[in-house]
Amino acid sequence: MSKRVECSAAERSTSLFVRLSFCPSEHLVSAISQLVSDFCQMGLRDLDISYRFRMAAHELAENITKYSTNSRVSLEVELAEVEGVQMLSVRTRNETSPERLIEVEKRLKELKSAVDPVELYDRMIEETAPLEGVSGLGLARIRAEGGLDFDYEITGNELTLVVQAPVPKPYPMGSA
Amino acid sequence: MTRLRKETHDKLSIEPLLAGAKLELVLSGTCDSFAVEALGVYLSQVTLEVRRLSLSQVAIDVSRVVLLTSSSLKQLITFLRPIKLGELPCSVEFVVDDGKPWQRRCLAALVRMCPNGASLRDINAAGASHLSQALPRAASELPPA
Repeated sequence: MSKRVECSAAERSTSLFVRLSFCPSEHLVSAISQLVSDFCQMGLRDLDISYRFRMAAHELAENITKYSTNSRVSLEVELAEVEGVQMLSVRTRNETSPERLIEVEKRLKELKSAVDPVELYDRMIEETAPLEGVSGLGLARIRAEGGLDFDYEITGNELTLVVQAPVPKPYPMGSA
Repeated sequence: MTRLRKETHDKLSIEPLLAGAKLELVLSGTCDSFAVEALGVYLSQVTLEVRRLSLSQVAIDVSRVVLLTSSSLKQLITFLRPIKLGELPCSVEFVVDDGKPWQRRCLAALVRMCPNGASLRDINAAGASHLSQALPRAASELPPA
């Protein structure tokens, strides 16, 4: 994990934080992404940022719903000042199969190292277009369309995935 | 006369409007996992209608859509593929609301996939605008999140 994601409490000042622990369910995905959108809108009052993170949260929540191998999953959203920069992040944790971990790590490495995430996303669209019923575009879309950075950690069978971006300073709570 | 009808699936509604050789589909609501299959089936029917009625253009208005997941995008990719391959002689115009920048960013990927058959238009603008002139191409060109 990068220093920015895992920095110490002394370097980090959290303005807003929500953690959801839930049993993976398709019925919860839209509600979770809506909550993330509301969280972003409350803190930043920027519809475009809220949409980018809503889309990311939806794609990530769908993934953990599809691929989790047990009922212990979580999604966190945090607005924090990290080393003087306001960062908004969404973090998911879930356990999944070794085969899925190998596949997702390969994809994440490719996305993290991509010089041009849009070119990679376009290539993936071309490659998956002939395949029926397979999207496989969610993570690439978060990077290319959402403009969000990835970080991840794999411990045993648990995958922790973070998407984040620097954002403007949040509105003070309680202001109109 | 089109055989397509207005349909509602969970939080997504699709309404067809036929005017001459142009078919407009107005999508409203949320394109999430509960709407994906229905969207795919509907777009398959649109393909049949394009052939049956020899339509030259399909406009897909997403300006009232609040969320479009990658699985929903996949359905649009599947719909566009025969157009890209020259198997369906028809063009597709995605109608977006530039007041919601995500819509243009999202659909632009499909225009890049099928530049000769797909375009984007702001619902509030007079004419169509092609992607290369109107879209940030790389993530680094996005405004700060």
